[in-house]
Amino acid sequence: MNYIRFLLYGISLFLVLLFIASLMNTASLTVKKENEMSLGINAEPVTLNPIQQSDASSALVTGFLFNGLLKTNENLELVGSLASEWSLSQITTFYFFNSLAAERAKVIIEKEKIAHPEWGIDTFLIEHSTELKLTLHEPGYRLSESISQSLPKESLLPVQTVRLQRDPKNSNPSIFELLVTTISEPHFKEHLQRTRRSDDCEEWVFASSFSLQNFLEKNASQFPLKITHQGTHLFTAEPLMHFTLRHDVCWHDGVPFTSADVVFTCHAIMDDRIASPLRSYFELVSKIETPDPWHLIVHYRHPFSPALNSWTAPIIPAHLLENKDPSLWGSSFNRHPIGTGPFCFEAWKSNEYVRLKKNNHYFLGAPWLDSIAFRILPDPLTLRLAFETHQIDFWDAAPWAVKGCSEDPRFEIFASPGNSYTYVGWNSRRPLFADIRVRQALAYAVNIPEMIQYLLYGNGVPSTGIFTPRMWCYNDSIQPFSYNPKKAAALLDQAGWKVGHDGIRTRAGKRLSFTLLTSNGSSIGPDIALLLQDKFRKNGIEMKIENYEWTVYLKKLLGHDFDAVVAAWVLPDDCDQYDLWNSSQYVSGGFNYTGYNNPHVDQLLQEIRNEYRRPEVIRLAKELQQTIYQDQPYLFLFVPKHTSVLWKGTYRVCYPTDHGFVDRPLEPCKAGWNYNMEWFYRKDYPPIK
Amino acid sequence: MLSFILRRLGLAFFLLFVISLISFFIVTLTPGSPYPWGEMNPKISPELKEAFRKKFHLDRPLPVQYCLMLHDLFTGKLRSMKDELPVLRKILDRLPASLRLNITAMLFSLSCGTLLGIYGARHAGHWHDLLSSFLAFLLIALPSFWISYLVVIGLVKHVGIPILGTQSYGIDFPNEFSRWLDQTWHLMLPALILSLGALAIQSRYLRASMIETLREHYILTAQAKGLSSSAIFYKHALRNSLRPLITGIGMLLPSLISGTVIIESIFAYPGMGQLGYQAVLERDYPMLVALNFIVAALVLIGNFISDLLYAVVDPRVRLE
Repeated sequence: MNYIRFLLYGISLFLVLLFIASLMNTASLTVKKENEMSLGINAEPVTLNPIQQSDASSALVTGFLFNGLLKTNENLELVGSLASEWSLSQITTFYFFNSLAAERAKVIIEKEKIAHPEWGIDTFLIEHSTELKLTLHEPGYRLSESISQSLPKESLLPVQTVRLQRDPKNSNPSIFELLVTTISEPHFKEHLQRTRRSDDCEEWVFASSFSLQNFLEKNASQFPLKITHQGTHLFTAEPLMHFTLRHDVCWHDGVPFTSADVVFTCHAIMDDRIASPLRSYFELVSKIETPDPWHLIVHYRHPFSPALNSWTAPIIPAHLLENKDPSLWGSSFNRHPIGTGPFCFEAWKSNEYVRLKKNNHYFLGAPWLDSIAFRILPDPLTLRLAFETHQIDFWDAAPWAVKGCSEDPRFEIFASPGNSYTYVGWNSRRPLFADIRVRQALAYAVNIPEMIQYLLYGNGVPSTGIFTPRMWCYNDSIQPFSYNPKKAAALLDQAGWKVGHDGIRTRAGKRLSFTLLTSNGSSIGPDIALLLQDKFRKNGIEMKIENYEWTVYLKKLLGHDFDAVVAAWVLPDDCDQYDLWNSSQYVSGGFNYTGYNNPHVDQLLQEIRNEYRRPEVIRLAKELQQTIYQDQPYLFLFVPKHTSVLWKGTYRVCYPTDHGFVDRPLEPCKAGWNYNMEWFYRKDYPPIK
Repeated sequence: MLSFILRRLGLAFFLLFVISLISFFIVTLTPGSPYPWGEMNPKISPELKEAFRKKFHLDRPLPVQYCLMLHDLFTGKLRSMKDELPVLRKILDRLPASLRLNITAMLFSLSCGTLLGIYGARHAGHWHDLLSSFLAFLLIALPSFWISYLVVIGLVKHVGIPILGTQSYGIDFPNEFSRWLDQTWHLMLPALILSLGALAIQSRYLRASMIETLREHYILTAQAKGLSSSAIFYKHALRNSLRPLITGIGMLLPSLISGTVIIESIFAYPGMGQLGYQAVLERDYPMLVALNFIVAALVLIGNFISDLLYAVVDPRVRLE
């Protein structure tokens, strides 16, 4: 018998036998029934370190492992989590030319304080003989401004804020130091506060009438520095946040949680070696005081109300990470995290699953589930199969699958508008789109409900502006521009665009024609373009379509090299949209790339950032949404709905409130049907209270 | 022989260097940015981007970046930009699973492909041959993702046998052998589907080369000597028809990384294909450079092995 033949038949036979044996083995195994919740995720989490993550899978997992000082409740309002109590105040400082003026101002305040209880002045005292420091109940500029009006203006030193940028290539690194020592103006140095933003950029706040701008212009050769931002006030306003931490919180390894962990987390977020995406809001923190392990006072450089939300950021343990090189976290802590959350980390099998087990010492009580498994299933069809065979408990249905699932009596469905909207941005710096009548006419020419039907199978709602319906600042009283070709035609006629011989409108010999930019990175972008083209054509508007690869598309977009563009924004839960709409953000690489410019909107955006009272923020935000929607800088299309499917009657929720536990079926709310997922329980494992 | 090996090794190192240089520049000059938080996030300040660039030496000139990257690669310090895990660890994490999958697939395609090829050649012109040709062309033509979907839907949904991942989830195995068998089961179907295309192609190559060999005079001599037909086929004809197969083996090693993306994704199998694919999408430069380097090395090793094998099968080839 020759060996090749033996080998060939042998291997084949062996493979066939192995195939059959392994099949029979697996078919004979029975899955152990467990009190476990399984979730399907389509990508492996990048890191389980919550301050470094920026992908959805990681965020989903770490949500069960960590807590922030604050959290959002079912109505997306801020409430305490690791912090049992929290409050706001502000230190406002006025600077005077001399101590006499300061003393005089103090006397005035003493008198006026009684006449103006609304100022909410707690304490006031003189420091460094020329500074008058006031502690106020409410942060923001509003009250401080009205106080400043009762003080003699001529004795007040103006407070200047400047941001200095150094040319990174050809100047020495200690140039900022040198500049400070060179300037010999009175009052400049004594009130100077410096903040390093990066090696090439510093922010200075100083109380003096000295003009830095002039000085730099005169000494341009010695100090090649650029002022990129400048502001002047009559005072400095430093908001404070006071937190009282819970005493009963422990890390998963049993070490108590204290204010030192919070301080460490803030420092870690600001650490260059970590490059945390949470950094932007913490840049405003000037210092953190910890009078004792359970109290924290956070000082901000200036009022900026969206920063409140940053305290929902998860806190990481100082006792495990302090003094360890962050570049090594990747293979240690980030793969085996220790948190304070309702679940502890158990296992992570690369590209297969992540498993968490319940934390019996969770400060709100142990959760009802024994464990949570996150199965990593990259393929959408496989994900669906895994759901249908009970391997995962929830499934996010694609629009085309929603109808089938909602007709199936075995399933329960939760659908709500998501936190993104799709739009067409008009480049308002191009003459055609500078005319508001043209933009409004284009809005009337499009049948958005029909588009939602065609592209999303009805799973969406028309967008009425910059906020989506799930947000707390959403203005629900806006009337959308409904499909009305006649009105569109009338507006175009008014604007001087008359129908030409080939059916396309013309004005002064120019055809009403433009190019729409789409990206092949989006699955529905090109389809939207086709539907728009058809509708516009019927209204005598010619639209050409150009479809680009994502990176080229981005380059054209951020370089303002387009007429119109199909895009979408995914929004966070706060209502600060300064970066998207302020006219100052129309720069290369800025996000107001359509060049929108409305002074009233600029002012509203700034006021929202300064305002801490929620009802007032909502009022301003609603006005903002209304104003921008009327201006139609975008053609706001739709907000896609997010649809989750689950097996009927698998889960209920039983969660702690101030008045004990509430046991109820799953139901939708503003924050989503799954916002308190850690308190879900399986019906066959009812909670034991 | 020794001088041949040394010469080839020297050439291989030079080639590796050139390939790493080219792949580095292709990777870093591709449009797109490696920032993990995307390009369109207003909450990311320029200072943060700068910190990120500093952290991964992206602020240095490209030649310096290249040297730093090579240095880190050889000292094992090269870290992925995505999760800062050492790239070698990430690759080694997945290499065993990938190797198991690909070796099983290779066994399938070599053994079954060869048998199918011999079968075709032996019955050349007969309807048996037509049937095997039809089967081979069918396997080449059917997209593997389609077959995978059919298999997954059929087994998971209608029969209820788990095949996703490397082993059945949520099971207490009675013994280690049962666990091993279960892992083997999870390997079998993806490997089989992965091998189908190669299996069919191998069989066609072998059939053609064997039909040619069978026309040689020495086969006639063997028949005249009165040798049994199986001795002629397996000893004389097969051995002289193996050269195309050996070329195939050389190309199998690099397919470890490239050829398995879709099947890995459908079967949720944690292999190297997904790793490379994700790294391309995320512009994870260190990961891409390391993977390219390893693929290049594998191609060279594969070619080297097939060169050596030529000498083993064909006495006329002398490696001088």
